[in-house]
Amino acid sequence: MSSESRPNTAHGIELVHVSKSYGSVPALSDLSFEIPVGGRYALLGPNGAGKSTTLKLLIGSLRADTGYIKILGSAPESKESKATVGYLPEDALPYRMLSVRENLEYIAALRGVADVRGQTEYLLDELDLRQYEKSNVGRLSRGNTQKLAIALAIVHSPKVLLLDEPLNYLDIPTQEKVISMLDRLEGTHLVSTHIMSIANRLTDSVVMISKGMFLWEGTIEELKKKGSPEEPIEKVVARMMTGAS
Amino acid sequence: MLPKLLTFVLRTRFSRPFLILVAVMLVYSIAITSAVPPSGMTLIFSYYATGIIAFFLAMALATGGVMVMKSDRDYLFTLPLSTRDLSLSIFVAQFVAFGTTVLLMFAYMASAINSPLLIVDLAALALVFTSLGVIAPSLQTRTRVVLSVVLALWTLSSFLNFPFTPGSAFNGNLYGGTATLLALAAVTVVAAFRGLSRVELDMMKSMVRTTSSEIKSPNSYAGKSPLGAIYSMNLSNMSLAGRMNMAGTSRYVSRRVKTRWVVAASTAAAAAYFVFAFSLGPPQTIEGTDTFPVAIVAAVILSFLGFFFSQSAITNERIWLSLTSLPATTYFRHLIASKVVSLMLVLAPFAAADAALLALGYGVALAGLAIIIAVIPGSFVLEICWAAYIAPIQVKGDDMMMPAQFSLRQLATGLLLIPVIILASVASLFPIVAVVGGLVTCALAALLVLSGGFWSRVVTKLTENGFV
Repeated sequence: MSSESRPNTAHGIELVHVSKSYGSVPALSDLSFEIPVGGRYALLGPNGAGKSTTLKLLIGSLRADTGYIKILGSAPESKESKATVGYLPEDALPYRMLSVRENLEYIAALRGVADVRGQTEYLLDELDLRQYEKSNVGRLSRGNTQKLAIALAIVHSPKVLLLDEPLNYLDIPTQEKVISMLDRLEGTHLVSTHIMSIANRLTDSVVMISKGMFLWEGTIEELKKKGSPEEPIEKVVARMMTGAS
Repeated sequence: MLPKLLTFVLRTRFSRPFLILVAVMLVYSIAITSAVPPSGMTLIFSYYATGIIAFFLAMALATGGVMVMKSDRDYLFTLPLSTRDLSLSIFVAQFVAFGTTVLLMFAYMASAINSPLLIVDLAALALVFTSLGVIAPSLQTRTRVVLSVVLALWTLSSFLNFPFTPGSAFNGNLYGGTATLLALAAVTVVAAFRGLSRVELDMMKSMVRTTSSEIKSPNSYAGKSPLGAIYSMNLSNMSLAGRMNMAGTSRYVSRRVKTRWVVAASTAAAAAYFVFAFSLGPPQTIEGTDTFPVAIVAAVILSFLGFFFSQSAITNERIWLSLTSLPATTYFRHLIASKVVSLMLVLAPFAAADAALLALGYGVALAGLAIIIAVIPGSFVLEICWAAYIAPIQVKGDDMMMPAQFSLRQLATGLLLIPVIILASVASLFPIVAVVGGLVTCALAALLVLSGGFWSRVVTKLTENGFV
């Protein structure tokens, strides 16, 4: 994780008293947290905590029942927000009927990227997708599909990047390459993950939620200090989450 | 073991309300065949039956699939089950999904012909539909397409009084048609059971498929505006999809076809339609001519085609990419507009054929022309909106697998086809109805497409239905 200084004067992501239910089942209850511009945060929580719902609210594909959300000061469904956000869902699926290159060019064009060809060439090389550029995406391995999905999420150099388990399906060398690439990307990052080692590599702070409610926020260092020096951080996190349930 | 397995297979592939509805409809269709006194097969029913059989036989073979789910591959097929029991259970499930559709669509015609043979015909036809869906995935795409065209042409040849076709029983050659259907059912059922006996292997093949197919003539989107990219993608390629029991397939197809090839095929079909309608001679009155039912049947079949195309508009969508790039209303508005243009390119040869017939004095072709130009575009948009709102299903993984259970809600996606067919049929008698109906459907479609609130609700539906 780079230690460059990041401005902390505005919110990259802001959730204020957000609640969301699916029918009668509550997914988020009065959830509030803020991530400063340039912040690198992990969104942690047990299964069913509401992590994916939070990300879907942040990209505007779901609307909050109450409360509000801002991305760099704009509502998630606004044009301004769409221009600044990059999103990678868990088990992301690109367009199956298109080739790797067609996916990159199509989404770059859809996002109004000025140099579609140049950005496509860069990402094909950066993520070792060159040999598959003409391949039908429906026939790619899961690992190569994930690499393409990551490329699609960052094709427009987003200022806010929302990633849900970004290193799934990737082999270790590719994981290192992706970590290095994401580290070089400027902007606000929120990474939803179950794996603390990934949170540790991609972020420096944590927002923890459980049962749709805010649980804890702080740096990873502060999180480590909550346990004894020899205690694995996973145990600390598990204890905090279990204590919440 | 068989009863338990059969129950398990049916309950995992169909929701309980769906099964209840199918049972009720079957009872209804049986009741109607015995309750209604015979009135003789009218010309229009002959044409309708033959045309629809040709269309559905071709569709079942071109887009069919086995009703197998991913969990079958991972769990059911690993159990020590009898191959015979497993094959029979899946075949029954296929029959519930597809075979019963035939009974529902054609049973009322049994009342028109005073012959018990028609019951045999319907049963045989249902078995053929069921079996073709099972056979389809084992064939190469090219073979499937060629066989589909051959089947359709063979069925349509009954219009030329050829007695041995799948449509002949409904077209004045009851004995020849029955014999043909029975022979075809025997061949296809045997082939289907042979296919089902190795269904585990076929599914495993799909899992370990390692070949990487390259797209031979890819499109480039460099230098295109956001909206230009949407139109470019959807005008150059088409996909056909359907997954409901009247669509003849258990899977969504996500292969793309160049639009120019589909237009070439529709041009050939429109030319055949023109030649056939022309050969019947210029009509003197609407009711007394053969050209009239030909025009109606062509228009109704084109309405079905529009419906099939409408079902793939949303299923292949990737909202994590498209709807994070553009506002939902903007994106869907242009996506749908591009799909309408694409469909109209395919239907244009038929409109041209009708216009040519009209110019040659075939006044009844006006009905077909009015339906294509006025009714189909608006109804196509409504069908897309309806499917997206009622039961959106996304194609995620392998084409070989069922992406979701058959349910009543999903069946409801086809409901809109009923008023469209009725409108097309009435419009055939009174072309002005096509114009008025077309204007109404276009106005409704425009209201929905332009409504931000509607698309906001659709996006929520898509997200809650697991769209990625």
